This record gives sequence, structure tokens and C-alpha cells, in this order.
Amino acid sequence: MTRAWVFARRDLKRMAADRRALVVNVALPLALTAVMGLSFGGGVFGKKGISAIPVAIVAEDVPESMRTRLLEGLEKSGFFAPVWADSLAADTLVRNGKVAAALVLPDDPLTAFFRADSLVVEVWKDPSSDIKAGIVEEIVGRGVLRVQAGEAAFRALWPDDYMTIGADSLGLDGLLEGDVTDIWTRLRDPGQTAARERAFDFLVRQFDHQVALQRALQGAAAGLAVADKVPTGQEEQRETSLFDYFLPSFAVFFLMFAVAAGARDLHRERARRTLQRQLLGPGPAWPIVVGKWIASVAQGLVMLSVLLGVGALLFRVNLGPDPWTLPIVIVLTCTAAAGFFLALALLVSREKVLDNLCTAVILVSGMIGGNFLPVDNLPPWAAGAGRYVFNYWANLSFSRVIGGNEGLSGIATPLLVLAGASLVLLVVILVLFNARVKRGGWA
Amino acid sequence: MNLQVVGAMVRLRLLRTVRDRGGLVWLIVMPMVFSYMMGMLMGDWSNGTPPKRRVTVFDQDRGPAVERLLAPLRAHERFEVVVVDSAATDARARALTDNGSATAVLRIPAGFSAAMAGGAKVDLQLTVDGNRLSSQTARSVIDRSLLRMNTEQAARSLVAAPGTEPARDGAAAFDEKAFAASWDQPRVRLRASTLGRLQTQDWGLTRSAQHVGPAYVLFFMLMFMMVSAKDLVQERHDRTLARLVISRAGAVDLVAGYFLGGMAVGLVQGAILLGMNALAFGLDYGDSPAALVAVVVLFAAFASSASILLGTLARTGPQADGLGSGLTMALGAIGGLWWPLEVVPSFMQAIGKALPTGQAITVFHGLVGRGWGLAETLPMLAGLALWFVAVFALAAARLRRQVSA
Repeated sequence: MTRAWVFARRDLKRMAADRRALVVNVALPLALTAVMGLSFGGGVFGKKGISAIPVAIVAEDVPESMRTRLLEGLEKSGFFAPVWADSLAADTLVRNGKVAAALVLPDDPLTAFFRADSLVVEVWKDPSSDIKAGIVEEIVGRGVLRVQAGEAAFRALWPDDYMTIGADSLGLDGLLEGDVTDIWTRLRDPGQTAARERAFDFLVRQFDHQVALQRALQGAAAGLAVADKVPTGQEEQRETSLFDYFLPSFAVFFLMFAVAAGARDLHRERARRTLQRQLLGPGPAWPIVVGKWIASVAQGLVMLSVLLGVGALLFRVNLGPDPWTLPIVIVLTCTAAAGFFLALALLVSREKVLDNLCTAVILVSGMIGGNFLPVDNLPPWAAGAGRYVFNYWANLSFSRVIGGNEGLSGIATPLLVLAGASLVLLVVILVLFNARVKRGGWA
Repeated sequence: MNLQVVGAMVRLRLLRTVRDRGGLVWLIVMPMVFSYMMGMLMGDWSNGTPPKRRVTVFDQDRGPAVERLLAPLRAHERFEVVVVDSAATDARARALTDNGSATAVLRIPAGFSAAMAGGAKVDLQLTVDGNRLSSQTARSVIDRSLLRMNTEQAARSLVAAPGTEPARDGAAAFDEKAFAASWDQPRVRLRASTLGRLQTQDWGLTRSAQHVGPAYVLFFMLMFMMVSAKDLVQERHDRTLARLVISRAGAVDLVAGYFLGGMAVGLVQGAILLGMNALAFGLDYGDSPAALVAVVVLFAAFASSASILLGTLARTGPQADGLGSGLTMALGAIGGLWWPLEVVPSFMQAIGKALPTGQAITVFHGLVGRGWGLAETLPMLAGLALWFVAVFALAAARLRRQVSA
């Protein structure tokens, strides 16, 4: 075993001295991680995620006071950055991608509403802003659904008031112009016409009914408590973001490249004849490959620790519920990765073949193992295939610890799989290396 | 400039690329596999109708209101409702959702039907996974169904008792038919439409067919160019460049040969990949072939120049390889080839759109989604041209210096 450590130390010294390799294996992943952190993470860099959604509001016949209140309300919500526009301008803004969506209220909506005319609220969506436009549609849809519910109840309770609105409609013309004071002054005007009086009575009835209905609806018979996939209890204080997923998944992705590069070293040493010289030395051959394995594991440990540490420091990524769960996941991920790529290196004859094979394997296993999409979101076929690659279990463990704040008991299965895979792969590389030495395959 | 030498270099580059079977895998096969698999992962390009997602209902009420609540969910083509006559803890519901056994878990307590008949209020528990579209849809369907029942119950509470005069804000009766008719055919409706070339409801660039296809064509064009920078490093080490200069080639010929050779490979790769995406996955690149050609040519020119620059900067092949892969990934991630730029904060969008990858994918989005032509894409094409000129100038200067040294 001492010889294995000697070989490992030698490889590690060489890796540490190779500044270019350090740049490729640590600095570049770090830079990319920072990019992802800035894109999704927030942390010390402030606000995260999707910024306020630019929306154009088209409501040409809505009174000025209501427009102002609508705009203020949307701005204050923090979700929207609204701009007022006529329909032509809104169309241009959406088509040019200046706003994610336009909310188009119908012509003279208040009068149409009180006249019981059909009303269509439109959302024009930007094809390049599917997510943001979808959020606008969802929020507007919820509002419209509430209006529809109120309408259905009103019709069922006061069909006469609902049906006679049309007959009194003339009295509404011009009544709803201006702000609340203007409307009130108009209604209280002693010189008003009979139609206006009827309109006044109608509006009072409407108001009474709507208030009664709103009060009744507030005391809903059944509530719906929704538990979404966020930590509960104490963990609710913790912010989560897409970066909680991207940081470990990309760290594992880069780890695979780094460990694969380490495995290529075996072929490089063979080409330089240094491997053959090591084999000529006294003692068994296995410490050579175990040394390579230890060096790869150590390299992976440094890489993952640096990436996750930077993520925690700069982007406040959760490092798990206790100090030992995440380190155990890191160690088992590195041992499995080192075993896997060394086994690949021992199965092929040339460095170039290994190079292509490793890149193909990394990309495909990255896809089915959850490095590009969260493991929980993989379609069944991918999740099924993913179970046969080590990175699936690594990603699953990381997502449970970082995203779900779960301890060792919560990730027992993936940890056992990683530990089992590490052990089996270590045995495989020992058997393959010794067999190749005996056959003279490294000569 | 010796056109014969330049032509020979371009021809040789193409020949070498075609003859390298391993390289061909990276040139054509892997990009297509990657596009297809990412498309599958992101939800479309799958054949046939999607499988039904299970909504598990733990029903402790077993009353008539439960069936009314679940009716829309049962009628929904995307869901299969499984009712269990027992209770479940929060942890069990969460576990069922997390392990994929159910897309959503609804727990209905005893007393739900009584509450709907005017009894004490109850709370239903719905466990979902907001990251899944099917889970969100199940939530919307349940939410809507419960809203209908709550509204009806609330409205009925305003009806005066039989034989009594309704209060000023009360009602004499509740017209069930009018309620159902108004609910099914509401007077106030929402109409959502996508503006642009393809005015269909379900179209969007986060759909893999429209975003992933062009994005991975650009990504692999750049990747192939960048990792082939190691060939230039190798030729520098082998003194091939020096030997070429001693023969008939001047420094300008070498710069032109390397640049045009890389560009030819990039253009062939881009054309094949775009064509295969169109044929295999029915991708559509808009109505402006001129803008499409312009963006592909400018991107290939940029990628070829960047490859030469990297080849002159890197000291060893593995260094060029590592830096090339890393830079491609960085440019892909920041420029919006991995995820649409709309999901990142505005300052990252601004940075992304300033990069050549961001400019190229924005042109594709404009062509496909908005029906843009040359005029509308001109700012991005000019940006790409600027990148190309800057990187080419640097690359040419370095290569000439190294060749002359």
C-alpha cells in the first residue's frame, strides 16, 4: 500500500505543478459555476431568478384613475414592469420582444361589464419569452377565473338584475368617466335624467349584491393547502434556487472530465514508456493502478470541495443539514468516478480511442444521469436508463442533500449504490490491470 | 496571396475531417444524438400521446362531494385518478410525489361533504412538485373544481329560507342551471395567443424543437472548431508551418488557408446539422434564407477565427483541448445555448446577448419565432461580424508572427 501512496503522491504533485491542468480542471469549472450562480443563484450578488416581467397594458377606454391604480398595483407587486400602450404599439412591443406579453382589456370594459355583454381579455405572448409570457397568462387566467366564478354565482342568485342590465344601459353612457369623485358627482346630480336614476339604482343593487357575494365567498367551505416541493418547518427560512441543482450537477459533470483526463494518463505514460519502467520495478503491479485511482479521487475531492465551497460562500448554497453528509457524498462520488473512468481506460487500447469514448460517455451519461435536468424531472425512460450510470446516484444524493436538506438516512439508497459501485469498480480495475500486465498488454 | 496553396489547404482540411471517422462522430452524430436526447428530456419530440400521470387521492370523507370535486380530474386526458380509502401523512404524500409514484397527492379529510352542505370548514391537502408541468396542471384542475364548489356553496348561503322574504343583499333562490351554464360558457373569457410567425398556443422557444435544435447546432459548430485547435498546436510543434513557409506558402496564405479550411468545415457541419434537424424533427428556420445563411456563415467565420486564435495561444494539445471545451461551454451557457436567456436576470441577458453565441441564437429565435428577415436581424448580424473581425485580426496577427518567427 505504501507504494500505492508513493505513486499517488507523485501523480498529485505532477497535477499540482501543471498550472494549465489546474486552469482547465478548477478555474474553468469555477468560472462556469460563477456564471450559473449569477444567472440563477442570487446569494451575495442580490436578487435571483426571473426579473420583473415587462408587460404592456392595453386598456384604451378605462378611466385615467383606474389606469393609474392598475399600473401602480402591477409595479408594486414586483413581478411586473408594466407600460401603457395602445393596441398597435403593444403589438409592436410584443413582436419585437420588448415586452414578454401584452394584457389587452376589451373596449370600454366597465360599460360592457355592466351591460352583460361578452368580454374577452386577451394576452398576447412573445414567442421568444415562453416562460415569462406563460407566467402572465397564468396570473391573468387566475384573475379571470375568479371573475367567472362571481359571474356564475350572480346569475344564479339574481337573474332578474343580471338580465335587466341591458334595458338600463343607456343610463350608463358616460357615467363611468373620470375618477370616483366624478362618478359620484354625476350620480348625485339633482338634474339627472330618469335613465341616470335607473342606472344609479342598478349600480347600487349591483354593489350590494357584489359585496354580499364577496363576503360569502370569503368564508369558503373548503380550503386547499398546497405543499410544494420546498423544505418544511425550519428549512422554510432557507432560500432555494435553480443554482442548488446546477452547482452540484455541473460539478459532477466537470468532475467526470477531470477524472477522465486522469485516466488518460495511464495511456500517456505507456506511450512515454514510463509505465513499462514502473512495471519493471520490484513488487506487485497493482499499486501502480491503485495509486492512479487514489490520485484521481484526491483530484476530484479538491475539485468538488472548491466548487461547492465557492457556491456556499458566494451564492449561499445549502451544504446539508450536518457537517458529514455532504463530504460522504463527495467522497463516494469521487471513488465511483475514478473507478469508472480507470476501468474504461483499461478496456481500450489507445489514448485517442479513450478520449472519444470518454467524451461520448460523459455526454450521454450526463443526459440520462441528470446533469442537465434534475433527476426528479427526467422522463421515465431516462430515469430508468440513468440508474445504470454512477452520476445518476451522485446527482440524486446531491439534490437530496443540497435541495432537500436531507441527512444520511434520507439518501441511504443512493449512497449504498455509490459505495457498492466504487468497490466493484476498484476490484474490476485491479483485475483488468493485472490481467493486462500478465498478458504483456502494457509492453 | 497564393490561391493554389490556400485551396490546397482547404481541400486537405476537408479531406482530413471526412477521413477521420472518430471526428465524424463528433461532427455529425453526437450533435444529432445530443439534440434528440435533450429534446426528449425536455418533453417534446416524443412519439404519440404522453402517458397519463397518476393523481393519488386519500379520501377519508367518502361523501358525494368528493366525486364532484374529482370529476374534472377524471375527465382530463392527462390524468389517472387513484382513490385510496385511507389517510396519509405529510411525509408519505411527499414521498409519493418525490419518487414519481404520483404527480400530485390530494388528501381529503372527513367532513368535506358536510362542509359543502354548510357544515364546518375543512382544509384539503394537496402535495405537488412545482417543477413538473403535470403537477402544476393537476393543481390548476383541482383548484378550479374546488373554486366552483366553494362558489356554489357560498352563493347558496345567500338564499333566504323558504317562506321568508330575502334580505336586501340576499336572494330568493339559487338557479342551478343558470350557474352551470354561466360556468361552462362564461361571459368574461381569457384568450391567449402567441404573436409572431407561428400563432399557435403551444409554441414557444423553450420547446426543444424550436430552441434545442438551433442551439446545439451552434454549440457543436463552435465545439468542433475549438477542439480542433489542437491540430494547429501540433503543427506548430512538428514545425509543419515552418516547412510550409520554406516551400511556397507565405504567412498570409497560411492564415487564409487555416481560416477558410475551418470555415468550410463549419459551414458543411452547420448545413448538414440544420438539414438533418429539419428533416428528422421537422424544424423550421423561418422565411428568410438570406438571414439564415448570413448567421451561419458569420458564426462559422467567428468559430474558425477563434479556433486559430486558440491554436496560437495554447502551448500543448491537451491545453488547447481543455481550454477549447471550457470556452465553448462558457460561451454556450452565458449566450443562451443551454437555457433560454429569458430565465436569467437582465444583466446576464445583456452579457449573453453581447456574446457571439447570444447574437446567433437571438437571430435564430427571431427567424423562427418572429419571422424576421435581414433588416430585423441586422444589429445581431453586425455584432457577429464585429466579433469575427476582432477575433480574426488577433488570430491572424498571432499566426503570422509565429509563422514568421
